[in-house]
Amino acid sequence: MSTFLASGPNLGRSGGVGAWLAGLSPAGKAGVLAVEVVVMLVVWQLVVGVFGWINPVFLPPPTAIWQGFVELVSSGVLWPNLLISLQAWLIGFVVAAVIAIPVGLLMGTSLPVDRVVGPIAWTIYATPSIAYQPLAKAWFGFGIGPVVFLVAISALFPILLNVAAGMRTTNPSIIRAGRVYGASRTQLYRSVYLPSTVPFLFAGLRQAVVLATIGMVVAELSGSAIGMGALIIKSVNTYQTDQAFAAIAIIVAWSVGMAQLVTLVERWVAPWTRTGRR
Amino acid sequence: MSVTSATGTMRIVRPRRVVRRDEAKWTWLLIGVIAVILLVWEAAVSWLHLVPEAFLPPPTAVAASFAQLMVDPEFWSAFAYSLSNVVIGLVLAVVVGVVVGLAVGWSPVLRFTVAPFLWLLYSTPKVALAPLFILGLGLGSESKIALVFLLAVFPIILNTMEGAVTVSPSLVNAGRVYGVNGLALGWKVIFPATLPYSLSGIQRGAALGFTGEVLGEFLGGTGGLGHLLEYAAYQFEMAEAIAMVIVMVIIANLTLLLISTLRRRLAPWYDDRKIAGAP
Amino acid sequence: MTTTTEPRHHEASPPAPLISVRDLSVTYDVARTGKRLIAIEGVDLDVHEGEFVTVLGPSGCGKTTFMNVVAGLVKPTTGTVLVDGSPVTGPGPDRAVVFQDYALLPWRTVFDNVKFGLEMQKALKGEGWRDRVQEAIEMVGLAGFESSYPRELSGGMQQRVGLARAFVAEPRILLMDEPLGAVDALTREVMRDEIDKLIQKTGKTVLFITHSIEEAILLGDRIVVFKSHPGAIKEVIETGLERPRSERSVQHDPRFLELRDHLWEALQGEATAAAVSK
Repeated sequence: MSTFLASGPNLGRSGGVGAWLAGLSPAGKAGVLAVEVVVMLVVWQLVVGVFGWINPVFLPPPTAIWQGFVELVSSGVLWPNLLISLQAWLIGFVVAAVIAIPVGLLMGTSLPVDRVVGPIAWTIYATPSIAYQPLAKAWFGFGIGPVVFLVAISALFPILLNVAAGMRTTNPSIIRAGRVYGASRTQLYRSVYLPSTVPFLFAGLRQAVVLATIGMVVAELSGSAIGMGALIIKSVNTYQTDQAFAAIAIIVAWSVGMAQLVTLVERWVAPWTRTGRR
Repeated sequence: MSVTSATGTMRIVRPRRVVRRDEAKWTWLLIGVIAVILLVWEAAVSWLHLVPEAFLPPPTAVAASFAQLMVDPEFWSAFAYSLSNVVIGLVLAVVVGVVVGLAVGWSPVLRFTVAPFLWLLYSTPKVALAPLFILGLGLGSESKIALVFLLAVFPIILNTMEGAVTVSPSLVNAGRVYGVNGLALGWKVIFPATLPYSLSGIQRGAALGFTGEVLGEFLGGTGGLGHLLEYAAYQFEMAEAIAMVIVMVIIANLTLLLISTLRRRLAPWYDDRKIAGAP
Repeated sequence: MTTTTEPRHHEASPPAPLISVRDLSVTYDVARTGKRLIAIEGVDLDVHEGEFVTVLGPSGCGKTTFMNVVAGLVKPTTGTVLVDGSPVTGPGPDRAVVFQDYALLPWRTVFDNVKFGLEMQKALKGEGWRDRVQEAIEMVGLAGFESSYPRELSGGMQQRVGLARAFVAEPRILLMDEPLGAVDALTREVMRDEIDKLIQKTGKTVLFITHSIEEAILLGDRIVVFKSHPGAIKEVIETGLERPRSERSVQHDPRFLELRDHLWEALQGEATAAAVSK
């Protein structure tokens, strides 16, 4: 939890929450947050579980969600569904990245491509991907296909548009420096345009993680027989909402984990961005 | 470019178009490319029969379905149903989101205690809660409105909060120097400075709210555009389904356009690139 | 006041100038209004080998455009620029530029930034280039910072990297575009003296753009004063001060005071004219 605040990119840049929290030592921050989390969980448990102010079917208390998780694991329901979901997510994400990165680079390189692909991409990106779900279901059947499609189409455009924007907004001063020192066109791309696009690529990937997860959940909720979304629907329909919440928590953990993974890879690939971008 | 801001909200800042005389040329190129795509699609389906028509109907069939939808009262009642749900949910989300966002952004104590949880909820794929809403609130409009609200409110809170956090202290001091205080300070200084941020949040919130409405209709009930779309796809009336998707693309983009126009009108001084700290 | 205007035609008199600018004009099309903007007009200037020429003028007077033409980054609309007798058609290894905003590659360490010029000119073959890069880094006083990233350095230190990058390419001509314009006042003084020493030691020919009167006097053998609207040379002044100069050693020198007053008046007229024309 504290890692969100401690390692979020750019947190310190414009003051604000990051700067405010930065006043505390990392241990202090973690400590305060840990206390907050505990207080929150206790209050939640008291309100729902002990006093019963909220119907626990709609908001199960933390202990019930934990029990739901244990049930999911012990009954063996979790693994097959989770594996199917993660498989669809990963395939869709990789497909999106494999298409988006080259096309984004091409958009950044060639003005005509930018002016043709750009408006089309923005139009599709502006539309919530749920609109394409029924088509995906009709075309790809009831298996993993529509989920992969929706994950891919959700993740594709943030990556594509960020990469293109990164190429287009390369600092003109650095381009001038490259020209002054005699860089050829190829050298300019390799040494100037591509490296300065890297932070944009990772920003796009982080955004794509969030959108891909939404795409996966949407696709699985509305038409899959297997996967985490289907598991949630089944649990809710049998009033085992504690299991549904446990499943949601797993999806959240996956989404946050993948976003963190992207950040870790960025730090490794692009160490110059380690403490906020310029 | 994409920006991860102080509060961790993300958005792509669309690069500004430089107005050039040759810009018209690109518009024609775009139109030409789209025309070629449509032509190839038409040729592949209706003339060469490379793809079965039932699977992917040709553009002419889609256009015919689209025209039919436009004069179909059933479509318009579905449209009104969806739109009213989205608008009600969104208005609630704007009111709550702006108030909570300003309060949390303005108070350091709230920022420290509440903001981390807001951030966690913001980054949670809340669409997964949709079945619970249907379970709790039934198949009618209530569950959809609640879902729209839930999905739309967090981006609005987070962006407003970011705006309130970044209102420069010197701006506030300048207001104080000229004797602006209390509510007036909020109305004359903090609100206008935060407005463009809130509008960015509303833009994102509108898209998510739309997702919530359509998902709610997919999961239950018998009204709305989402239901109509799902029904068409289920019946394998692909021309009508694609026409419905086009309707949704148009709605989504018009909403986006409306909000960005509003932002330009209400906050013409706002420069996304400057706020984003783009190089 | 002993002001000498540059003699217009003296190519015949040996030695031939290293940089020779004749009747140079640059105009831009302003796309939106369809008007033509005259950046500089009718510039004539000769710079001889080993000379340190400072170019002084108010902002917007076209002095940077002038430097960019010499660097080969901007093509002249009319007129010619000869370097060592041959016309400038683009950037070349005989000229290096130090930029006001440093124009360092944020993804490269100090060492890799300094080697950038050599790399672009494909001069990284064989041994010896490492020593050259190391030498340049030590020359600008950055030993020990070889593996730091630019964002970890202060503005003054970043510009030292810019200087090292320019020196290591071993150009005959150094073009400096307000290199100290973005560093703080104290650093500015220290670096100005260091640049002076480096140039005296290496004997490079320098074109140094500035809007600081003191900088122009303290560094230049000659001062080229630009006027604006349109940008053109107003006058050329020999400084005629003994080297080494420092702020302290010259501040009671009557010649320095005379130059300063003269330039102050010249620039004030320009600044007022610029303010009124806006």
